[in-house]
Amino acid sequence: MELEKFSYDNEIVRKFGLATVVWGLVGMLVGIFIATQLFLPSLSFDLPFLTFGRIRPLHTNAVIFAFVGNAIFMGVYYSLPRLCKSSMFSKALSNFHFWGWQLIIVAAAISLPMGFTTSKEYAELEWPIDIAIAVVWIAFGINMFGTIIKRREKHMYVAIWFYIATWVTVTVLHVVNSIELPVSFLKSYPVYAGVQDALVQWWYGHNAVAFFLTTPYLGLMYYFLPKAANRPIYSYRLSIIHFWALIFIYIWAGPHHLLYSALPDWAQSLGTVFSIMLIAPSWGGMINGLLTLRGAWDRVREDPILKFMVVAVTAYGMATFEGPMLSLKNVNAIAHFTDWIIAHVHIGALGWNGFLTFGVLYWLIPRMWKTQLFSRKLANFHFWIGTLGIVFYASSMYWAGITQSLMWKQFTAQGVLQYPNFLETVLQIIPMYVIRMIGGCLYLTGVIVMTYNLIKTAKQGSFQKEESAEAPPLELKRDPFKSGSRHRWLEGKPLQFIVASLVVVLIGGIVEMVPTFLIKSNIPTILSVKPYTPLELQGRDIYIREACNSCHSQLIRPFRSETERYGEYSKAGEYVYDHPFLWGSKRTGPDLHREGGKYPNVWHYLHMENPQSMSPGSIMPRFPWLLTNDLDTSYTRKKISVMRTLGVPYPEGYENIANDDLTKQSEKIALDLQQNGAPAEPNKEIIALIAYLQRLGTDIKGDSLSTGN
Amino acid sequence: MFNNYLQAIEGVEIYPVIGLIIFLVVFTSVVVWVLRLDKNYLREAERLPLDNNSEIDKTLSFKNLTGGSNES
Repeated sequence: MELEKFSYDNEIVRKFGLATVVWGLVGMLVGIFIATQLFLPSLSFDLPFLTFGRIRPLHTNAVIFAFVGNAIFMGVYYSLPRLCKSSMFSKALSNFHFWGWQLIIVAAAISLPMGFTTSKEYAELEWPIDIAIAVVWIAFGINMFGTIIKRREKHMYVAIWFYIATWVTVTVLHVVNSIELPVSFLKSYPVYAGVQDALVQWWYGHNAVAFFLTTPYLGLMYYFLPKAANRPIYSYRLSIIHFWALIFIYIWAGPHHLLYSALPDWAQSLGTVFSIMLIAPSWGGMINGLLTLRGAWDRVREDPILKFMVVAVTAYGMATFEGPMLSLKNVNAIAHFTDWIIAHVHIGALGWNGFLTFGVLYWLIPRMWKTQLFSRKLANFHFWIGTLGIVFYASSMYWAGITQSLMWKQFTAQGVLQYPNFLETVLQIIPMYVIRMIGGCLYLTGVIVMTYNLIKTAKQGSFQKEESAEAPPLELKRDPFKSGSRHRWLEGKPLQFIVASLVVVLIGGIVEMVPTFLIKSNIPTILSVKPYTPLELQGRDIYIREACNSCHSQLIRPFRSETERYGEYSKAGEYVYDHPFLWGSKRTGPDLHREGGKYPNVWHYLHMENPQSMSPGSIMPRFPWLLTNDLDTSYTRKKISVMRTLGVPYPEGYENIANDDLTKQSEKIALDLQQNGAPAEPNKEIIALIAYLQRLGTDIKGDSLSTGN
Repeated sequence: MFNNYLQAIEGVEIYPVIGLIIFLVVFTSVVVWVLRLDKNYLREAERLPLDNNSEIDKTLSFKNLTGGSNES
């Protein structure tokens, strides 16, 4: 048969590779910056755009979507055409994808520090950027499926399945979690409220880990590990089971992020069960990766690429064992809201994503530049300092998390909290924060060395933009059922494959979410829970802008240690007007759900100006601009009407008088502040924030359980 | 307390059972499916990443280009 000639576009791989390294350096540097702020809070320099709350989402977004995202695309644009024996469907789409994605990253890097955020973790970007993400993602999809359709290889290799599942699921996740009503160009409210919003968000958050940090990387593992080891994957059978079981089970496990929360028990238990089941496919995948190297361990000792890959796959195994353990309620009771979770995600991010990326880069760059790696010694140095960095990072965070959690729960013989002052439990773990920062620096040092090594490699080689190849055309005239099983039929038809994986993924989502959406009318309404006043609503938006929820939860779990410390545990009915929910996922500071009425207004005023004046040793940054910024009331009207559209029962026409109410309430608070010696003016942002903080959790005080319909 | 909310939904207990059944059916069929796969197909499929049909792959062979000796 005649061979067809075509070529592979290495230029797009080079671009994504470059972006991977650059954004990796940026994301990690930002990580070290905020890690340092946790023991040196003055590093925010009293500047709004440098505070921890605003920068932490920048770090997570940079690492997940910029570093890992670009690495995924680098790997896909290299492996997909080669596995399909075809050039990419459209070079124009490849370039649109690249520049669109970088533009989105830049938009995120600007808008997040400016305080434009939806507050939903890993989905913080506001609605115009959400739309841009959808457009670019669809372009990527068309390009990918176009390539698969015009391929010259009849089988779709398992890596491609993982790419398909990634694309399909991320599309669903992004759309469902981003449904929001705009208030202005960069402000919106999600259509979901309270418990539902929490469930949707963590269905998204959990599966973003699954389908952005895991499945595409498994695709990369199934392609680049055999490449680097020069041997086929240990068991192709196992890889098929790995794939279907993983994408089926993963989607169900989201509720394990909400154990002991106000989410219905039923959904919590389902999340736990499926999390435990996840161990099987995850470990199947890890074993498949590691056993690929059977008989080649002598090479692992010498070859830095294989070293990186082995540690990456091992970290995958550790993180996917730990995840299910953390979703056991008794473990979760200790680990949730602490640095333990930070350790867990960094085993995944630094070990699995980071090290696999480095392995792929060390493999790809010399190849595309047709040369040898500049220095194997430096690559080995990178490996060891990176591993050491992970060890420092993880062990200090495990120590910090467990220590703090045990202190939170410690009672004296008399039955009162041994450490009633939250700050005491923070100060105890400050040394761990220092060690964590050192771990991060070691890791980043490795990446800098890698960057140098790769630049030198590129300099000594010559880059080949287009790589020619040849393959026979794909014979289409064959009976798909004739010779073999259904899976081969499925594989021959990418469209059916997409539909099948979509169905598999949707089952979990639907079974989990539908009942929770039905409960809207079934949540026992707590009569005393009323919508926020206009001033409180404005204050809440400032709380969101400053991302207070990065460090403060609003969810008191039903434990004695928590009700003693914070007050009555949180009820689902209290959140019905919370668009978005602000439960938070980490307590760097104390829970705030019952903050209302705990301290006088003036305490909050002085505390926001300088937290250390009220709590000596506090690691919270200062927010002096809140005292001087005028509150923007021009959107009050729009905010009230958007809220009403979303189902918050403000009376018809209330938006017209909302600002009058706002003024009245703010004057009252300002007067109280002035009487207590604070030079407060009623039109400042701090007044709105105080109004919101003083409202928190007060609805049910006094008549805590009066329910009715 | 929390599970009270769902009591208002008729027959909600059936959901986890349905979930488990769906999972077991899918999982069992995948396993059966995989065990019955044709050996030749598997051999072909698993070699796909190692099928080097491009210019650079042909000239540089399978070595990892890290500067050391890592022939297999």
